[in-house]
Amino acid sequence: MSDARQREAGATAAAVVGGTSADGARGAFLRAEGVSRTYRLGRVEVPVLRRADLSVRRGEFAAIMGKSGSGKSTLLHVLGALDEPQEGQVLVDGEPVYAPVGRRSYRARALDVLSVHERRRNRLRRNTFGFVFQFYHLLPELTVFENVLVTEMVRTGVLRWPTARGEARRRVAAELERVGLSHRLSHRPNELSGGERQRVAIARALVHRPSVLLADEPTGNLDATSGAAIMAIFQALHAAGQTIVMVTHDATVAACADRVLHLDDGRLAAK
Amino acid sequence: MYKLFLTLRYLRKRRIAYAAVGAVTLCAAMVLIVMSVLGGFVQEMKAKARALLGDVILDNRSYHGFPLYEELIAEISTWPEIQRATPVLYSWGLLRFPQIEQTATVRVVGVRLEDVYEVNGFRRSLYYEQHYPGTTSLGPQKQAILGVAEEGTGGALSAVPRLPEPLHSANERARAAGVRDTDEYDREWTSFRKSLEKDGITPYPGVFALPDGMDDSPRWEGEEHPGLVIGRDIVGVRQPEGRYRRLGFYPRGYVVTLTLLPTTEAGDISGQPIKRAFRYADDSRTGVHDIDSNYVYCEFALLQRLLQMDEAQREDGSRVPGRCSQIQIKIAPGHDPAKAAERLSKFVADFAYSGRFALNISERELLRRTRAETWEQSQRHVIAPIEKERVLMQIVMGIISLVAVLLVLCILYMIVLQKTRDVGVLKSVGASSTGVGAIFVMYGAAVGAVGGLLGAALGWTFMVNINEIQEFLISIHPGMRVWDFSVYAFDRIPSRVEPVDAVGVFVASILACTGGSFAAAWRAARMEPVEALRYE
Ligand SMILES: Nc1ncnc2c1ncn2[C@@H]1O[C@H](COP(=O)(O)OP(=O)(O)OP(=O)(O)O)[C@@H](O)[C@H]1O
Ligand SMILES: [Mg+2]
Repeated sequence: MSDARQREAGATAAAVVGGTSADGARGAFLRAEGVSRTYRLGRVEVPVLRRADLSVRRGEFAAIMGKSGSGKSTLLHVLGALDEPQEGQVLVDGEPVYAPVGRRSYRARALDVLSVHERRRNRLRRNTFGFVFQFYHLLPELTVFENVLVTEMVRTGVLRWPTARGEARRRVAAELERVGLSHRLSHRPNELSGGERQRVAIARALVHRPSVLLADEPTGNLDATSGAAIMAIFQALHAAGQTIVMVTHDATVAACADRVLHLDDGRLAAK
Repeated sequence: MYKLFLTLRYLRKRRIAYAAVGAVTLCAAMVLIVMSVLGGFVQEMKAKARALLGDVILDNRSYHGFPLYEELIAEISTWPEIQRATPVLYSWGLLRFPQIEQTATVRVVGVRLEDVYEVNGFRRSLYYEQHYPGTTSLGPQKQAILGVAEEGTGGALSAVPRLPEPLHSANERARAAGVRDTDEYDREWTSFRKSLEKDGITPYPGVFALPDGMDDSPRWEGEEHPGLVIGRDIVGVRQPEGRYRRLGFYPRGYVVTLTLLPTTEAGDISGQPIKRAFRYADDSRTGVHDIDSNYVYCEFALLQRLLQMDEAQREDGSRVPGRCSQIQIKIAPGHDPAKAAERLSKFVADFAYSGRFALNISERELLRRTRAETWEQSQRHVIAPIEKERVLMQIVMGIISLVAVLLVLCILYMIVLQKTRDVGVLKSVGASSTGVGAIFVMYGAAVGAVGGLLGAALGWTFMVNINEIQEFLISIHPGMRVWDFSVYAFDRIPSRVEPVDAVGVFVASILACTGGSFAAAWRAARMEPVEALRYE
C-alpha cells in the first residue's frame, strides 16, 4: 500500500469534498487498521477479513478486486460504517469510526441512541460516506426522484426541512441529470432497467457530496455499454477530486482506478 | 421529515393497512356504542331518581317517621342553599279497584302537591296533568262525565260531545299544543274512540266516564272523594314497544279504596285498619318500573291524619308532635348538594338536642337518627349496579379491542418484515434507530387515529339512529327486538353520545395502536443496516 500512487488534490477537489484543509488532504483520509470480521454460522466461525489494512488518500480512486465470496462487500461495509468489525479500527480523517475494541458489543445493542459511537456512526453515514450497493437497494414505493430525495430528508431535521426543501430538490434534480435520468424522475424502480437503477443508486450516493464514495460492483450487473457509461461518471467525479473506493471483479473497470488492490484470504495486497 | 414522508407513503401503498384501520374502526365504534347506551341508561336512571326525590333527602328510615318537620323546614328554608323543602309521608296500604275487582298492595305516599311540583319532577310524570294541565288535584273531587253540548248560535245548533269545564278548555289547549294520547285501550274503548274521531273530535285520553244516554250534558257527578295518583304500572301494562295498555275500562275519576294500617305513638300497629274511598285523579309515569308499579300518592295532611301521625294532645294535656317520613329538599342553583346534605345532617342532630322543643325520649331518638343524603347516595342501590355493569362491559370491550391491537401489531410486524430492505437503506444513509422506529410508531398512531376517528363517527351515527335501527330490525323479524320496553324502564333506547366518550375512544384507539406498533418499531430500530440489506 505504501507504493500507492499519489494524487494531488486540486482546488476543485477541495471544493467538492467540502473544503477541508489542504494539510488533511495530503495524509491518508480513510484508513482501515487491522480489521477482522468473522461471521458465526452456528458453531462454525467463518473469518472473512483477517487483520486487513487499507489506506486511501483524499481524492484517490481505489479499486478492490477479488474472488466472489472473498469479502469485498464486507470490507466496503466495514469501511462505510455499516458493519462493525470484531477487531481493528477504521479512521476517517483521523477520527475512529467504531468504538474501541473492548467496548464493542456486536449484536447486543438495541436502541443504542445515546451511545456516542452510534451517533457518530450515524453522522458519518449521513455526511461523509456515499454508498452504492451491489444490488441497488432502492425503495420500491418511491419514485426515482423521491428515492434520492428521501436521503436528503434523513439528513435534514423536520424543523429545517421546510427551508431546506427547495435547495434539496434542486440538488436532487441536478444529481439525477448528471447521471442522465432527468426523463425518469417519476418512474418507480421496477419500471427501470438495471443500468438505470444503478444510476439512481449512484445519484443517491452522491447527492450530498460525500467525502468518500463507496461503490460495490457498480457495473456488476450491467452490459459493457451501461458499464462504460457509469465508469464515465466515476471518472468525471474522480477528475473533480472525489475520493472513491470501488469494488469490482472486472479488470477493465479496475483499470480506471489510480490503484488496484486485491483481497485475498482476508487481506489486501497491491498488484 | 423522512419519517412522516415514509409513514404516509407506506399508509397509502400498503393495502393491508386498511384491514387494520377497519378492525380499529369496528372496535372503536363498538366500545363507543356500549359506553353510550349504558351511560345513557345510568343517566336516565339518575334523572328519574332525582325527579322523584329532589336534590337532598332528610330521612330516618323509620316507618314511624320523625317529629318537628315543620319547625325544621321553617329553619332551613332561611338558608341560602335551600330553595324549597317539603315533608313526605310513606306508608303501606291495600288498593282496590271495585269496578274491575283488582287489588294490590301499594306504598302510599303523602305529598303536598304544589310543593312537590317545585322540589322535584313529579309533575312531569303525571299523565293527565300533561294532557289537561292544571286539572290534577289531590283534593275532594267528582267524576267528569262526557256529555253532549249544544254548539253554535241561532238555528244552526249541533250536538258535540265534550267534557265539563275546566277539562274541556284544558283539553283544547293540550290539543293545540299537539299533546297526543299514546295509550292503548281495550277493544270497546278503541271503537268508541274511533267513533269520536269520525265526529271530528280528537280522542281524549281515558279521562272521563261515559254518560248513560247520549243526550246528557257534560257535567261533574257523584260524591266528592279526595284524589289519588296511582303508579302507571298498577293500572296499565307496559307493552314491549313501550306503550301502555290499560287494564279494562278505568277512566279518571273512578272510585278506588285504600286500606291503611295506622301506627300508634309507640310505633306499633294496633286497632282497626282504616278504609278510605279516593278518586283516581292521575297516573304517575316516572319510567322506573319499581316505582310505577308500587306507589300511589295522596294528600300529605290526609294521609297523616289517617295514619294518626298528625299533631295531637295526650290525656295529660301534653302535645304529641306531628310526624313525617322524609323531607325532600331542592337545593338552590349553584350550591353543592353534598355540602348541603352534610350541613343538614349536623344541623338536625343539634336540633334534636337543642332543648327548644319538648320532646320525649323516643321522639328525640327518631329525630336524632334523621340523616340527610343526596339523591345519588339514596339511590346508589339502583345506580351502582348499572355503573358496575358499565365498567364491566368496558373491560370486556377493552379485551375485545385487544384483538384489534394484536391485529395492528401483526400487520405492522409484517410490514416491517417487508420493509426490512428499506430500513437497511435508511440506516445506511444515516437514519437513527429511533428515527426508523418512529416511522412505525407513527404508522401505528396513524392507523389508530384514522380508525378511531372513523369508529367514533360510525358509533355516533349508530347511536343517533339506534332507535330507527331497532325499528328496522323488528320490521325484519320481531324477535330482533333487543330493547324490550316491558323489561327496561325507558320509552326509547338512550341514544345520547357524550362527546367526552367519543374523544376518549378516539384517544384510546391512538394509544392502543401506538402501543401495538412498538414491537414492530423495536424490531426495525434494532436492525443492523447490513443485516437488513441482506434480508431476503
Ligand atoms: N451475514 C452473514 N452471515 C454469514 N456469512 C456471511 C454473512 N455475510 C457474508 N457472509 C460470508 O462472508 C463471505 C464474504 O461475503 P461478501 O459479500 O463480502 O463477498 P463478496 O466478496 O462481496 O462476494 P461477491 O463478489 O460475490 O459480491 C461470504 O463467504 C459470505 O458467505
Ligand atoms: Mg459483494
